[in-house]
Amino acid sequence: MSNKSPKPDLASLPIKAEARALNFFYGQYQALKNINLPIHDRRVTALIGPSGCGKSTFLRCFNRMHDLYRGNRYEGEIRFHPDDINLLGADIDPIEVRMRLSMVFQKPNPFPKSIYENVAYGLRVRGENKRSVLDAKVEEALTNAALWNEVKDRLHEQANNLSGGQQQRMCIARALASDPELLLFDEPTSALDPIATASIEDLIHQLKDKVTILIVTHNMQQAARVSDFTAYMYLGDLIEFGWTDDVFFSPKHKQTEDYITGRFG
Amino acid sequence: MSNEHISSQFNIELAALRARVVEMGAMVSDQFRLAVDALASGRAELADQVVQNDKRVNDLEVDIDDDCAHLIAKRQPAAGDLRMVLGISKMVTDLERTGDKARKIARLSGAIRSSGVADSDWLSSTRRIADVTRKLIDEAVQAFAASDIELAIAVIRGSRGVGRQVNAVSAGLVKRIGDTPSQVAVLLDMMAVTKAIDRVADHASNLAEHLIYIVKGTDVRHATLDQIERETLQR
Repeated sequence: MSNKSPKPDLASLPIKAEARALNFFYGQYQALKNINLPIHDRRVTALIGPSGCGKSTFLRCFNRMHDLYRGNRYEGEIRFHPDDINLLGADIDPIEVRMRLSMVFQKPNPFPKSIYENVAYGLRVRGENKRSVLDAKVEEALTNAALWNEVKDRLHEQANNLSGGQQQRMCIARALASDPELLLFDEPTSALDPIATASIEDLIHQLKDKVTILIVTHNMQQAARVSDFTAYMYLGDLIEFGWTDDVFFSPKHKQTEDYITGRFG
Repeated sequence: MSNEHISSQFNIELAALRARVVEMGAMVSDQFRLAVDALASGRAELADQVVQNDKRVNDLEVDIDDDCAHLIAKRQPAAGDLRMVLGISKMVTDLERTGDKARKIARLSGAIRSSGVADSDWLSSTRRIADVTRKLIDEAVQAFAASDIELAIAVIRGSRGVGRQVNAVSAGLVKRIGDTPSQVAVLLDMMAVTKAIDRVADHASNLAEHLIYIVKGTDVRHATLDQIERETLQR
């Protein structure tokens, strides 16, 4: 029997957000079915599952991206702490929600501006124009995104001139500059080469002390490497949630085992 | 895990790996049988055969371990597949050491038989314990082939029984060493054979423990039989 100290009880860990009885519909089609899932504070939670399982749909509920299309409908709640608001509540302004969460997409999406202005964008939108504040924030965000040393002498060059991996780290810096409480990553490395992927994964490790991270990934080994918790979804259902170590070594459900061992057909 | 991977090549590689472990298990069991036959019959050619075959056992250990390393590098197995590969890598070590013990018994058999010191009591007790032990090896390999946890637990239990019988035979040998110091050299060889059989039973038990780890994900090394039964029935 192993003498390693047991992992902390999940119930004892602080929660940043929590889906409660969450259903989501694209028109008539139900894409999420009664999802109950905690997102632990300053931990990395990975969502895995085959295409169409609902993992990206789930991620996009958090920043209310689905509101942009008519006919989409939420049921249930996503409680957000510490103030315990329901992110999906009718009284909650999606713009306000998006101020507290940041999302990084599959492909880097730099704005056609300089590196500096990309990172400062969110702050400017909030009305921050004081140069010293912007300078400090841009440096801090680029440092936290492990990009500062590479770009500090070319901040006013076009962001498009950066390599793919640098662009993605700049997008992460842009996301970090507005001090988000929750970072949403939607397959952040699927368009990157292995070296750029490794640097983003390193970055995720470094960031988790500062911010809660929810990541959707098709790369199961990436989920195993970067996350503390893993949720396996299938056809809109949450099949299994637990410590990543347990899910990848001794999953409780056969469906999870079949998926992570490549038996899923 | 009866269903197959999406990658048929992965299925083929894992099935081949498992088949080689079963092959190695059968080879080691034969080696042990030959060694005990050499001791019982005093036939030197059987003992020589065991010593010669031992190289094949060693080669198989290295080959299977190498296959495990390549499978990990190429396939990045997870969950049950990962435990299978890690478990096999440990199992081949126990199988190889079982082969070493067979070689040791074979090597000592000639001197013991030619000395005339080995009495029929010791020979028959040794034969009886060795037969039980060989059955344990076969069952451990069979349990692996069929992922049979209950059989694995029976092997662990059986191994503890062998330990008790070995202690009784060893006590008899210790007494004879005291009584007939002039025979000490041969009596120590006989003690070494008795202990080697005990170690083989331990290796069979280890094989069964590795299987429990593979199937259940529970590491039961160094656990009591009660703990093992509780842990494996719980999950």
